[in-house]
Amino acid sequence: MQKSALAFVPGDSFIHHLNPITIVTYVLGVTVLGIGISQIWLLLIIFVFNLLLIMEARVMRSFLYMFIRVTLPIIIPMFIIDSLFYPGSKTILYSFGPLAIRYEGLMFALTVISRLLSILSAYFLMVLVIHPRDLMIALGEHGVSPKVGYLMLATLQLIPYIQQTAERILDAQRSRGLSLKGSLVKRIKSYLPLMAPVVMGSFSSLEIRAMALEVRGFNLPIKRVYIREVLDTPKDSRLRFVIISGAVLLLALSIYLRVRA
Amino acid sequence: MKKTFGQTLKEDFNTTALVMMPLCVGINVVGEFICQSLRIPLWLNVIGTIIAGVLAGPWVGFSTGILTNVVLSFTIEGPTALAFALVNGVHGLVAGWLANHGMYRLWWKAAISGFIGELIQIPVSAPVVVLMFGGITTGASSAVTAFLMATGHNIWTSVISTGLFVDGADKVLSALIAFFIIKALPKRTLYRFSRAPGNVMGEKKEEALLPPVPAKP
Repeated sequence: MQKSALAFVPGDSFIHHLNPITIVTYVLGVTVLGIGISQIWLLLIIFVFNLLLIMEARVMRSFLYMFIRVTLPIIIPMFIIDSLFYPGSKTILYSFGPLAIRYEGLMFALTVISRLLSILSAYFLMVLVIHPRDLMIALGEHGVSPKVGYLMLATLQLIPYIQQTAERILDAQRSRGLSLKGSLVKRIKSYLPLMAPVVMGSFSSLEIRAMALEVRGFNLPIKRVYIREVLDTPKDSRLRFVIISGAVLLLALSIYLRVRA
Repeated sequence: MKKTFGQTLKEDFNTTALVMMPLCVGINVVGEFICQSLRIPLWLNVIGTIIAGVLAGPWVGFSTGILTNVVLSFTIEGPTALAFALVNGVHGLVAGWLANHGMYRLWWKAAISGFIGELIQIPVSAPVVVLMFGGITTGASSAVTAFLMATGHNIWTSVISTGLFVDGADKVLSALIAFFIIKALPKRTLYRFSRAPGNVMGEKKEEALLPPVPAKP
């Protein structure tokens, strides 16, 4: 099934060669800014800057494909509902029949949308250029327990497997006459016979998996080494410093502008 | 002897629990998938989180919830899931905490705990929904939010009452399903978790059953 496919796009750009932690720092910085800033133009500048980075990483096509599919179903209803019905807004900009676009609602919708665009685009950049495996290695080298890495990577491998099992069970139960149609109550009732086999099946392998890990020294308190190398260059640490100070400056600018207005 | 918080954590996160967490993330994902296949207008995507919380304590449940959304954000579904990581985590935390107080031993108590989980989750999720998504997220319950807003209710009231009724039903159902699935698990699997014997079967945790903890040299 396609749903669990990784978003990662391999590439050879400047951004792909950065340490994953640098990119995560950038994303966290944008998140703080996106929440802290309330000027629409400033948020849009961040969004455009993210787009430039995405272009630099040459992942624009996958980005547009994912971004439009994820954000349009949120943005369009939000824009319509908030601009028409946002409670407490009075100033009418344009009216047709019983409906009217109101200023306060429109501004609320625009602010939320630009905030969403600026924050989300940074996260999309992150998941497009970082392979979770590299992120885990980089975190492991900075002192995060290798168990966290195990959890993340095991989950990534397990999800497609469990989904396949679920589809098989769905087919099997259907061939035995389980109905997937009918009233809502009937459909909810057929949920358990589908779900229970999936869980039972996966829990039956639990002990074997745990034992296999313990036998291989999963709990040993020693430093792990990795076959793959993730570099953390001086350039990365300089870049992290620039990102953090830039974020602080922008936030200060936004607060200054708001206080003055 | 009372155990320190660190010792409890270490017992909760034993190898079996660590192996179970990815499985529970899978259960979360599959729960939503089956729910969509049956066209039930709910999510049912915290079943695995609740199971993890009940079997291995609140912190394992919390981590399972966070892990679910972090991993999903790296797939082509897109990183919107990350905004709700804490929400999913809170369900595991609450389920684990309530299970420690015996709320997952009877089915109607499990249903109540599902609703309590929703009540505690609302202050976490409502700000995300309102401030980041303007009240609208994908899913059936957004239609209810939109309807409430269109009939002249405050955006916070709309989001919170949608949470109470639509998502409340979702979480009650999730808790019930998790309860019945845990009931069907074999006993020997339950004994491999730190909390399951007490939480599910109401047994006092007998030290005799567990291997003696070796003293630190």
